[in-house]
Amino acid sequence: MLIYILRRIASAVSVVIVTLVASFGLFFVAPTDPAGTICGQRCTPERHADISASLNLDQPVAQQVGEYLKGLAVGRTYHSGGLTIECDAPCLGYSYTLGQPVTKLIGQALPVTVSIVLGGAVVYLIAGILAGIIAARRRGTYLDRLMVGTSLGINAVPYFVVALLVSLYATFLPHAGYHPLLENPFTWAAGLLAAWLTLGLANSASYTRYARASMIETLGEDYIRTARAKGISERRVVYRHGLRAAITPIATIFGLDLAFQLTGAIFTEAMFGLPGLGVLTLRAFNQYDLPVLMGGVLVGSVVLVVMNLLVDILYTILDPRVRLG
Amino acid sequence: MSTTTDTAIRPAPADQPGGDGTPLLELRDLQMHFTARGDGWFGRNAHRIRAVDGVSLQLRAGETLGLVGESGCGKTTTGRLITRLLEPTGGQVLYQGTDITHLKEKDLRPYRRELQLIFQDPYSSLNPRHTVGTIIGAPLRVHNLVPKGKELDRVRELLEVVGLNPEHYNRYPHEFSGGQRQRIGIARALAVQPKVIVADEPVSALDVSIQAQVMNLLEDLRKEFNIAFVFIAHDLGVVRHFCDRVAVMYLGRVAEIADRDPLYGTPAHPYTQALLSAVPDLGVVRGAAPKPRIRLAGDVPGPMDPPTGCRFRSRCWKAEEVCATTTPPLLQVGAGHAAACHFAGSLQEEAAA
Amino acid sequence: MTEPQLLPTPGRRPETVSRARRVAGDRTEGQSYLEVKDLTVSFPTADGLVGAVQGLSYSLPLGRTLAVVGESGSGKSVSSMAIMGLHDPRSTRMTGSITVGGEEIVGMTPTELRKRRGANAAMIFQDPQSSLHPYFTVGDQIIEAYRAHHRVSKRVARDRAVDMLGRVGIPNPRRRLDDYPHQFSGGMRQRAMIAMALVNDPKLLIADEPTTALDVTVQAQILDLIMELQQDFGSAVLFITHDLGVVAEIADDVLVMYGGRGVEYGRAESILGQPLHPYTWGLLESIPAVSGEPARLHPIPGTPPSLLALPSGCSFHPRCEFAGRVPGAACSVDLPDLVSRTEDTTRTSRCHLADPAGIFATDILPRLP
Repeated sequence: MLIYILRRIASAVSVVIVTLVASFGLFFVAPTDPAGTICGQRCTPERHADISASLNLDQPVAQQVGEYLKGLAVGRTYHSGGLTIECDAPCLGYSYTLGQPVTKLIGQALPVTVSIVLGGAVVYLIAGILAGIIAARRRGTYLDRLMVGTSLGINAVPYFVVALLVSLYATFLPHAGYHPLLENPFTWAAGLLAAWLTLGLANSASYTRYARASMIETLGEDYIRTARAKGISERRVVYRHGLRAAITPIATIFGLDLAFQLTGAIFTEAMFGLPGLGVLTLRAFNQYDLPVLMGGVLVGSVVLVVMNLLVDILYTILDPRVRLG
Repeated sequence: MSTTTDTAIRPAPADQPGGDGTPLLELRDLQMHFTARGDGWFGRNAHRIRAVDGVSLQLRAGETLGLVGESGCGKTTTGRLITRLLEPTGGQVLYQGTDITHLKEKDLRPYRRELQLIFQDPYSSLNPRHTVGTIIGAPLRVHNLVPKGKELDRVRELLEVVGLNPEHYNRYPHEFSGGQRQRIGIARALAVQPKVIVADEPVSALDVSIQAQVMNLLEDLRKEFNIAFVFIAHDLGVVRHFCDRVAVMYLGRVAEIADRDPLYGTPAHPYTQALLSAVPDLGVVRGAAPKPRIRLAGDVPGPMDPPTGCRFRSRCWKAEEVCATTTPPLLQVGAGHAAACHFAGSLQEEAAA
Repeated sequence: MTEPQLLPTPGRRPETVSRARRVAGDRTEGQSYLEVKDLTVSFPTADGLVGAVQGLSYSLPLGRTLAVVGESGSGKSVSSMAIMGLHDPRSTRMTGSITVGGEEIVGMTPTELRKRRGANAAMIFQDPQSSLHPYFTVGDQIIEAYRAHHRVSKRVARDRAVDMLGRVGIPNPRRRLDDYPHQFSGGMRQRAMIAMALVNDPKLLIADEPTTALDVTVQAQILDLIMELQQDFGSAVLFITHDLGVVAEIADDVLVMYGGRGVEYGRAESILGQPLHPYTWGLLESIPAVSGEPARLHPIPGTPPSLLALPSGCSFHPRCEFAGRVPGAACSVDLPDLVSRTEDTTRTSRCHLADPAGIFATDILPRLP
């Protein structure tokens, strides 16, 4: 068990390093002129050189990567113009456009995104799975067809339209905005409610169908017949015996969905003015803020790899056949 | 050998083997060890599964050899090794004296034609998107057995041979019943005029009445075309009915091999005796003497860590110390009758008594 | 796992007990625990009404084993599921009567049915691998079955489960209780299924092909176990199988089913020794024996009928080689009644032939394999 986890972590770390190096190549070594882009239209050669130096673009690539890794491990010091900027470990770089260390920017944005995504996940997991179970139990009835039809309909609507509809029509919801959880949990939840509903609504449509398909398959299994033959209540048959087995494939999809949403909740954040990771990277993209982009990519790849790892570990908890060999 | 292009279904005349003593097919100390990567928690511990562990058998032309045993005995793997769907990890497969153990796919092709396989599951072994004509015709095309334009005639003829309506060549497998599908599988195997058919549980998925129909068909075909069979089954009655010789396998090894009558009449290996005793026998109702009652405890141990020495000793009521230390060789106990048991002789007397 | 000690068991032979009981003619007439009368089960489908069981009647007293024999589509499993009330009422039409312990099952509400399932009647299935829930321990599953019908603490239920596992011959039951099904061997799993079924002391045990998925030597163990437990519990056993050899081993009475109907019923010795229906003859002629002189099999021609469109008259007539011996076109027009042709009034068959016993003696007996 321990060996397995250590091996998985080792491979996860190597995936992150490969991603890091690859994105380095793409952003910094690309045949474009990042310093020039940042510098803007009226760029003096001095300023250009200054930016290049501050981004380490004047150094060989290997050294750039090395500096970056060093920054991650022990921190680094930037010299820009006459300024000296200390960037503490783990240093993801320094954003000149925002005048802040990238670590701090991401550190502020990440809790927002995590709050949005996890809260939304609670909504769509509960709503989607419950709806899926109901549809599966009434397979072939009008209710089932209605639910599947609605779910397909919601999925067919572009996500931003869903967000738009929620923000336009659900006016009874509290005003959207981000307030840290630790300051006041109630204002935190109130400010995020609209985002949760949007994310939840859009995704519960897919989860309804996943849960329905998985549940229909499970309810046809022999061990469900055995459970019924014991004389336990139908609710217990469905929710204990059925759901327990049907949840495993859903957990896999959920793990990957979650990772995707954590790195790409841009619409939700932008619609409701929540300063999350998506908004941060989008802005960085528009302004060619390379350090922030790099930081975003790195955090994204870590999230993805960690979620994959968690799914695998979850799998072994869910399925004793995997756990006990 | 000349490719018969006319429509005769006769197999290529049984040329040399059989007469001069060379067996048609010979397995020498055949081994198949799978490495199972335990990719769960203990991923590092690769297990070695000894699915087939030193099997030696001979099959003469036109003969029918039965392989019986319980789950995990290696009978199916042996069938796959013979037809070279698997490459053995040890030992040899000789076909008409030629070593085909490690032949590459390209060089194997002429042998594939002569060694055909019939599967257990008539539902999954036929491509549902092809018509029966295409399915049966495929080997004809692959091996270039029939001139262009004559294919359909030959397909019809084969359908008739296996007792199906020859005009149904353009139907799809799902339009046939289980027994009929098994007949299609048989027709496909017959298409290339094989000398050996390895039949892996060909009737065990079928209802009793259909099972008997297919058994009779196989018997007729074998007589008519002088095809040798390796007949793999778990049902001792079916094997007894169909086979001249029978090998009983246990955990990857042959426990006992003999002609049918001595094997069922005077079995020498305790496992064979237990197996025969365990089969519910209808004859008793009609007045046959009840068999001695032997009940084995437990299930067959897994092939991952079989018992040392004699593999059967953990379930054997005759087991003594020697069984744990020494692997009993397959020794002659009668004419064409061999058993791998330290006490085979005395047990045989008991069984005969 | 420790391999249990090995044994030819000479002492306790359930079979001998069972035979002795048959000879003694210990028939508790009129005390049937299970009574099926004119049962019809059909499923409406897009292609039409599938008549899976039609006009089925039989009874089964406590302490006896009735084997229901038939091929796929004969209705043997469907009728047993009906006894357990396991058919979804939304997609099943059921008429007739099933009484278990005097209580009518047909028309019961789902809740009433559920309360009786597993308590009065319990069931074991063909494939123990797929019939046990892979995510719960064997103990959990047995405890759940017990607590579904007994208001007891988990501790009490656990002790009961240990007891039952020991009773079905699982060594070290207290430790094995916390194992998952995949840690059991095939035979052990079926033993655990039996323990689960018998945990509430049901008076009726329905065994649906319980040994078909098992190896021969394990099958023998399980059959012994079922017979032994029946002796101990005094329950009625409904044993569904396609294997006449198993029937010979285990059954007191036999019901042969074809195309959703019972075609022959009687004592096991009588059905197997002197069958009176051409379908039963065909089955017997299809089975290659392990003893005696091997003879060519004489299979029933054709295939079992579609339940969507059963042949008119006797459903077996298109496959029956003796239909020609019945004058006129009776076989293809009139459905024969299930009636007694011998002094034994409980021995019934559904066939127009005038002298089936004679035909069996002269035509069938000599060519049995």
